[in-house]
Amino acid sequence: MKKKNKISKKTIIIFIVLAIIGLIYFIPLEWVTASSLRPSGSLYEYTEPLNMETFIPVNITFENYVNIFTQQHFGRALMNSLIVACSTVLLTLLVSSMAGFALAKFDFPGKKIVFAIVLITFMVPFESIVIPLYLTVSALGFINTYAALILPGVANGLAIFLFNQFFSEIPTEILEAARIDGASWFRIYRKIVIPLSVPAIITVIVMVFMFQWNSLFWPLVATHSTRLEVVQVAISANRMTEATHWANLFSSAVAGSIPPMVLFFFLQKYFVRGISGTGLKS
Amino acid sequence: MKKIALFLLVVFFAVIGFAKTNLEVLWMGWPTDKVMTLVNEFQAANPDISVDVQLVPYTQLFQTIEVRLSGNSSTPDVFIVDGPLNPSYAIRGNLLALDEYFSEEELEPFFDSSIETATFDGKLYSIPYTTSSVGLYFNKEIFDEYGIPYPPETPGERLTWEEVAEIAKKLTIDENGDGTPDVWGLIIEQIDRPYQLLPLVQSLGGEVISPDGLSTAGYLTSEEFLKAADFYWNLFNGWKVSPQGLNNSSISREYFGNGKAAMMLGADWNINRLAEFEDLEYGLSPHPYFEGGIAVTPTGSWHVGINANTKNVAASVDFVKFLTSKEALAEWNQLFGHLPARQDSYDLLEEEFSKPEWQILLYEMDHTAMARPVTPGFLQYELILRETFNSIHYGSDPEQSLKDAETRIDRELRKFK
Repeated sequence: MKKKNKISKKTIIIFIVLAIIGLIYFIPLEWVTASSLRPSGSLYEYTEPLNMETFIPVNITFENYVNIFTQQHFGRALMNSLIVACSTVLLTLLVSSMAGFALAKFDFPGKKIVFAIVLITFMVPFESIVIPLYLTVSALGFINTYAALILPGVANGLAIFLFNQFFSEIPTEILEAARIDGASWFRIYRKIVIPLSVPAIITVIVMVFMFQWNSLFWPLVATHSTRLEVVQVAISANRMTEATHWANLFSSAVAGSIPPMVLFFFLQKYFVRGISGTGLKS
Repeated sequence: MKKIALFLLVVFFAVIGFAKTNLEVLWMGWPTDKVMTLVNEFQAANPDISVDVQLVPYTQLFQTIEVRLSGNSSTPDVFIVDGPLNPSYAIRGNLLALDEYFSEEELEPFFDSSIETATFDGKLYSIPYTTSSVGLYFNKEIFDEYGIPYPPETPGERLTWEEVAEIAKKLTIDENGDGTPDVWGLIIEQIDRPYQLLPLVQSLGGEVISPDGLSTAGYLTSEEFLKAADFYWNLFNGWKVSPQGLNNSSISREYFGNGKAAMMLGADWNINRLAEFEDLEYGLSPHPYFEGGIAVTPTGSWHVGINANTKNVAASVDFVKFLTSKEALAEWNQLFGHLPARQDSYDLLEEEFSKPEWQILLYEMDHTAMARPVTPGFLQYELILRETFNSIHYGSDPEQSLKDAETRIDRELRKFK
């Protein structure tokens, strides 16, 4: 009995600590959401002193949401980001999983060097490659097209690395057995390797989707037409030197975070498993 | 697989636009409808030129320009230039020298300080678009409540910084006694920007960079600079009349607008934006100066430049001429509230600018305005000074911080020698 009590006390303390940490993360998000429902111009009225009204809007209005969709083409930005993020995800899955497969299961000269280069690509900060990347994309004639937004993200070093790690765990004997039964490598990849790799695939989907959804600087550089405007660009357009349109900034930030949340909600189960799975198996 | 391939095919071919000769313009992220009003007027008058404007948010603007201009790219044809960055683009060959396209007559109406900013090595590299000024906003209700007489509201008559500090001490009020003032004495709208802070030094007669713009050693630790920095440090740490961490112009304005600050050292654009706060009754007093010193006010703002590698020089010049015309600048003022960089535009805006607060700022632009230092390393100079002011306002020692800043800035400036 005593022992049981002790554990539950400890559990309570842990629970309280976790709840407080959770709250610290939750409050700013709650405040942004609450503020997006306030009439424009009254955002800072309730910041000091802190009380219930700071977090619960008094006069709830949806005008800030109506504004971004009717005046700022936020719907188009959402659509563009969805097109870019989804195409990148599909292409990355194809390219990176095949590359990961080759690196995990084939032996060829220079394999280690290729793998090292792949590793380096995701360790170099984006800022340091943006100018050469821009010049390359520009020389290919892709500037101001969806291709400029999608293609540079496709050969994703981290995704290749994840697939490589995951595929290494699949026993080579299975593949050899299939080989003896007459299956082509592509058939083995498609029928055996991919179906076994759902957690890795889900991880890459979420990772690549979030990367594209959150990208701001590259879309600004690579495209210049408003018809190609993506979500983060549309959100940050509410910040100017002399003024910030807080109401629209908050409502667009909230609206812009819904698609990744929906995606994450459906894939959450696999995502967590994918991360722990790739790291823990030996 | 087929579905994926089909989808990609659709994506790739749906995006190939119409190839048409046009002018690419990289512009500030101002509201689309307002920018397009001017652009559409230009297009209506010039049906043979089509203008493709990209509006880039301020926080990403300078990086975006750097990347877009890399490799001597011929686009954007026309781009917005922050006044002090003019020499930096010019020295790297990104800006077209404009002397042969603009006559002296055409340049005559622009403010002298703006033309100075646009000139580097004797050549004109950009055309001034807007300009700016700063004054001391004060909340009349708070002054009334605590029986403090209003600061002067006539052009040219100003408080000293010493007087402002005394008033700020009286008007920093902690009514509920929770240790955090409910009303702060003074807010500096742009807490860390050299734009608003260098005039403190200049008011004491201090120089902020060497005459050739390539060295700061001895300048940032001059007696004048240190005195100004001490005053600034005291606002946040000694007298505690200004709140720390308010490093965003919009939040500063929200504080002042909602009656959480008695005074705000703020730029001209607040006049239009403070109208949003219906209950606010404020006055504008000319920019303060240090006792025994001179009055100096910040100025300068955006310019327009043409890419030195553009393939459409004639069309670009036409567009820039239109954008910086007397009428277009007056219209932009009506649309967005920026101060035109040319004096004759104000003739078209007489009704608006006869108001007393504008008279105060117009007086400053004519008499006390001092442009930011001309140096090809302004980007680095500004960045390091911002970091320095930021840490001073959080309490670090002004002298030591400025000494470090000198070393760091001079290291960056060396590459321009």
